[in-house]
Order: sequence, then structure tokens, then C-alpha cells
Amino acid sequence: MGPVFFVVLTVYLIIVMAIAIWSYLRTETQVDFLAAGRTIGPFVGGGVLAATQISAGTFVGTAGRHYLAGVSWWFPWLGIWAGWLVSAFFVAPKLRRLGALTVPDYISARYGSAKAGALAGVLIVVAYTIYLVAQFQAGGEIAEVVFGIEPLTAMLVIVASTGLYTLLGGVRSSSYIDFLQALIMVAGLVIAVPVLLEQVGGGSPLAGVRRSLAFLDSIDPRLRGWYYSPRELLAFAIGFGFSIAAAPYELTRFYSMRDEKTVRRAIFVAIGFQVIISLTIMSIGMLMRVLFPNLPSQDQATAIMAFQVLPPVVGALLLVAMLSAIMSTVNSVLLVTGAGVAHDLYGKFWRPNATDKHLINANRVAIVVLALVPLYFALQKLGDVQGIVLEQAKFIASFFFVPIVIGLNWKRGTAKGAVAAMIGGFLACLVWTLFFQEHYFPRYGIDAVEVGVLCSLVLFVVVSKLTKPNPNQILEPFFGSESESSS
Amino acid sequence: MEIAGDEARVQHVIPASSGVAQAYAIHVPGQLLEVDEVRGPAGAVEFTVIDERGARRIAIPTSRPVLVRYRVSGSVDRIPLFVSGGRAQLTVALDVEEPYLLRLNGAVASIDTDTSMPRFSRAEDGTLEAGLSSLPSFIRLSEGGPFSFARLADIVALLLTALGGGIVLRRLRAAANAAYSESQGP
Repeated sequence: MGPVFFVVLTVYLIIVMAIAIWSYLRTETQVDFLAAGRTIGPFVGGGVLAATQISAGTFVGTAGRHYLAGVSWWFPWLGIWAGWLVSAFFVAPKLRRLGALTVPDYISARYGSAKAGALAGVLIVVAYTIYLVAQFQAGGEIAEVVFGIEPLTAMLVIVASTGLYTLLGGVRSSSYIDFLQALIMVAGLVIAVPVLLEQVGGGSPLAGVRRSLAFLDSIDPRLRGWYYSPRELLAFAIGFGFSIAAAPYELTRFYSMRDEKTVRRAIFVAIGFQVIISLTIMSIGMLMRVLFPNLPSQDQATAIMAFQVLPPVVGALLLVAMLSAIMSTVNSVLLVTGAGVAHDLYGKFWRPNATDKHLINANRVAIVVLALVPLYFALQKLGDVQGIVLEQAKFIASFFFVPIVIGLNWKRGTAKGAVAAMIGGFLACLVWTLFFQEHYFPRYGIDAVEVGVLCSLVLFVVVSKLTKPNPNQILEPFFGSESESSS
Repeated sequence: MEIAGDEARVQHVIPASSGVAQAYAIHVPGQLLEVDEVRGPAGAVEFTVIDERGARRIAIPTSRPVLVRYRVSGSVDRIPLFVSGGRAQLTVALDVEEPYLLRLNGAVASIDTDTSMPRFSRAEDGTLEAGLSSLPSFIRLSEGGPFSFARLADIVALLLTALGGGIVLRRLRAAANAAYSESQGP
């Protein structure tokens, strides 16, 4: 890539470390570390939510799927935004009002059961270990294409740099760094599209569009139509949408915002960022198919674009943005899983009397360990990046959508119902994925996420109805005085 | 590939395929593309050229790799290459290989390697070279210059990043001031 890239990268890393050190000096309590002292406003919060969700799965995987399948891969975004809206109206305000630090905190409080919270903590760790595999794999992909270095080296660099700023400043540093990353991502993407069009069409972007579409029609007409069937797209949208509505790493970000109103506004800002990003990512994927129609893998499209097609500074910025997206997501996931282990398991079951300082240190140790485990799996390359992200989203949806979203809006749900819903949803999704998906989805259009969520819902309702309702004092923070009439 | 004035002579390999090979060269306005020869391991191969709206398609009745030779005249700032079409497969990226080496001879001294596509490096004998994992649909040759589209894009990118950095710094400063005010009490 030459000296330009290294100058851009160095300047960026200096800024990131400066923010992390600034935050470290202001991190005194666990609320500071995990929720940035609850000071984040709607604009920064929206950028943070967008940056957290826009991951390597988007830059590498989504652009790759657009490269492969064309315009039809855009439709799953509608599911994602529907998930955000469900979150904005039915989940986020209540969670923020509760003032919990983590999702297992919420599960424990809502159902009055520390064991249910602990189970949520374990499931979070399992699901996000899978998610980190996709992030590390994408980082290795970029590094291999651009720098020609071994994926293991690239992944270790990502773990070390991300781990460092997560360890130093917790959520306060990552919130401001994520906001900066969101701005760089949007700037890099927005500039990349006209540059690609200029490559194809000369001075006229419209000529670039016309020539690109005509060429795509020649090499594969389905790129402008239905590469995936509407049924397949619906399954993808449901998987992403249900998981976004209950995604722990997104929900954790709500806790760091000022109040409920700020959370709701931030979600709309995040959707705004994502509309821009989704359209640009789609354009980039399809334009890269025009420019390099025979890449060995769709996952290489954006890295090749930054390295071979864009001018030096734009290319370097976009590569930094891609690495930032990976770091941002890794950072968010590590915060959630680290908190799951340290705060929800270690702090509640092992050392209930631990001090704030002790818990912060336990959290930091957990972050280091949890960052290293997915490395092994990432090196095995178990699937394409978007495929891994999608599978993980299906699992999140299967075990969290019902206890979180339905549980926040149906006061009859009990702890045993929530535990049954989480375990049942997880197992149903797993069994369907391993043994039935390949055969039954093409024939009957039944996807693992639908089976998982349905099983989870049925178990939640049936087991809750069969068990004793939760007492009023547990329900009141979530349902107010109306909870009295339920019991 | 050799460039002389407003003509480029190109030869490259079209990889092996299953069944009849179909390769596509993107249409560039104001440009004439004439295929001279297609050669397989056993000698010349018959071929058919079909003009489509977005591309010139060449059909070759062999599944083995062939060498195609053709001339491009008129506008040569974008030189099409014949690339495969059809359904792409969902694949996992394995080790990155660069089996294609593009080499440009002739009038290439004024070409700006930073803003051309793909990104070339200049060899000692003055030719331009690029190692690639797959062929691009065309080669874009740019003479650069301070007001080229690529340079302007670079400047805009830097300005936007500086603006973003400024916003973050302002937010950080505001947060620090708020924290200081709180610590001072009423």
C-alpha cells in the first residue's frame, strides 16, 4: 500500500490511544467502565450504535454478498431496521429506565432469578465467541490481501490493539472511538462510490451507472433481480431483525446514554447512518463485480477495492475504516462477554463481596482470555464472513428475543419460563441447523431461526403459565403499578 | 499488452471452464475492439464474437485454457480484458495467490501508477507490472495530475476526516468541561 497507508494508520492509532488514555484517567467506578458514566448523547450514541452494528460482517461480508448476489442482498436490511424499531419502542426505553449494567442484569431483575441471569451470561459468551470468529477472519482476509501477511499475525495485532483500548478505558473510550470510526466509515464509503463510478464511466457518474448495469446484465442477469428467492431473503431478514431487537452488545450501549429519550433518538440517528451505509455498500459490492468479476472469493471485494482501485488516501482511509469496524465490534463484544463472565458469573456467584476495583480487574482478565479463544476457530475458515455473522444472529434471536422483547411486554413471564425459552430456543436452532436446514429449507422454506424463536416462544408461554407468577415488587420497575392487577 | 498511440495490442489467457467458454469484454464508448486470434494448446481455436448491450461476448467451444489476442483502438485509457461470466459461487477465501501478471509495454512513461487501475509498479526496464488474484474487466490508465478526479477525492477524504476528528475533539472537550464543573459542585 505504500507510505500513505502507514501515515494514515499511524495518525489514526495515535488519536485512538489518546482518547483511550484520556478515558482511563477518568474511569473510577464500574459504572464509568461499563456505561461511560451514562453521559452519552443522541448524536454520539447513534454513531456508536451504527458503528457497533456495522462490523466486518458489513464491510467484508455484506459487500461480498452484494458482489456475489447483487441488489437482492439489500432486503435483509429491512429486517435489521424493523429490529431497531422494535428495540426503540418496546425494549430500549424500559431497559434504560431500569439502569442495569448488562443484559444478564436485566434478566436477573426482570425474572427475579440470578440463575436465569447467569444462563444469559453463558449464552452471551458462546454466541459472541462465534461472532468474534467472523471479525477475526475478516481482519485476516484484509491483511492477507493488502499486506501479504499471515492471518494469524493480523489477528494478533487486532486483538492486541483492540484489547488495549478496551482494557484502558472501557465504554467511555470505546464510545468516542466508535463515533470517530462511524464518521470515517461513512466518509470512506461515500467517497468510494463516485470514485468507482468514475473508474467505469469516466467523468459522468450516470454513464458509469448505465455501463455498469449493462455489463452486469451480460455477465449474470440475476445481479439486478432475484439472486436469492423472496423466501430466502425473508429468512435472512427475520434472523437479523430478531437478533438486533435483542442483541446484547447493542443493548449494552443503551445503558451508557443519558436517558430514555436519548436512547430512542440515538436509534433513529443510527438508522440514518445505516441507510447511507447500506446503499453505499450495495453499490460498492456491485461495482466491484463490474471491475473484478472473477475474484477467488466474494469476501475479498472490499480489500481489493481499497488496495487496487481507489486513490491512495481514500484507499488507506477505507482500509482504516474496515479495520476500525472490526476493532469496534470486537471491542463491543469483548465488553459484553467480559462483563458476562466477570460481573454476572464471577461477581455474583464466585465472589459476591468483590469490590468495584476487583471486578474491573476480573473484567479485564476475562477480556484477554475471551479475545484469544476465537482465534483458533478463525484460522479454520469455517464459512464466509457474512454466513458466520448470519448464523450467530440466528442463535441470538433464538434464545434472547423471547425472554427480552416478550418478557419486557408480558408481565406473566416467569423465571422458569425464561430459562426454558433460552435453552429451548438455543437447542432448537442448533438441532435444526445441524440436521434439518439443508433438506427442509429448500423444500418447505422453514429456517432455523423461525424454529428457534417459535420453540422459545411456546416454551416461554407454556412454562410461565404452569409456574407461579412473579411477585409485584419484581414486576413494578418494568410494568409500573399495572403489574398489581396481574397477580 | 503494448500501447502505441491510440492503439493497444493485448494478449492474455482465458482460464479453463466447464463446457463452452464464455468470456466478456466491457463496452467502452468510442473504442473499437477486434479479436485477431484464439489459441489453445493444440493451435488456433474457432470462436464467435457476439455484441451485447453491455459487453462483447466471445464464445469458444473448448473447456481448456486459451490465449486470446486482440486490438483495441480509439480511446485507450480503458483497455477491456476478457473475463468469465455466469453464476459465481459462494466461496471461502483460502490463501491468496496472484497467478496473473499484467505487463504493459510501449508508451507508458507518463502513466501515474498510483491512480491507475489496477495499481501498477514500474519495473527497471520501464514496463508497468501488476500481480493479481484475478483479471479486472478493464485496465484504466491515468496520467494523474493535481486536478485529477483521484486527487480531488483524496483531498475531500482528508477534509472530511479532519472535520470528523474536530467534532470528536469538541465533544471530548465539552465532556471534560462538564466533568470539571460537576467536580466543583454548586
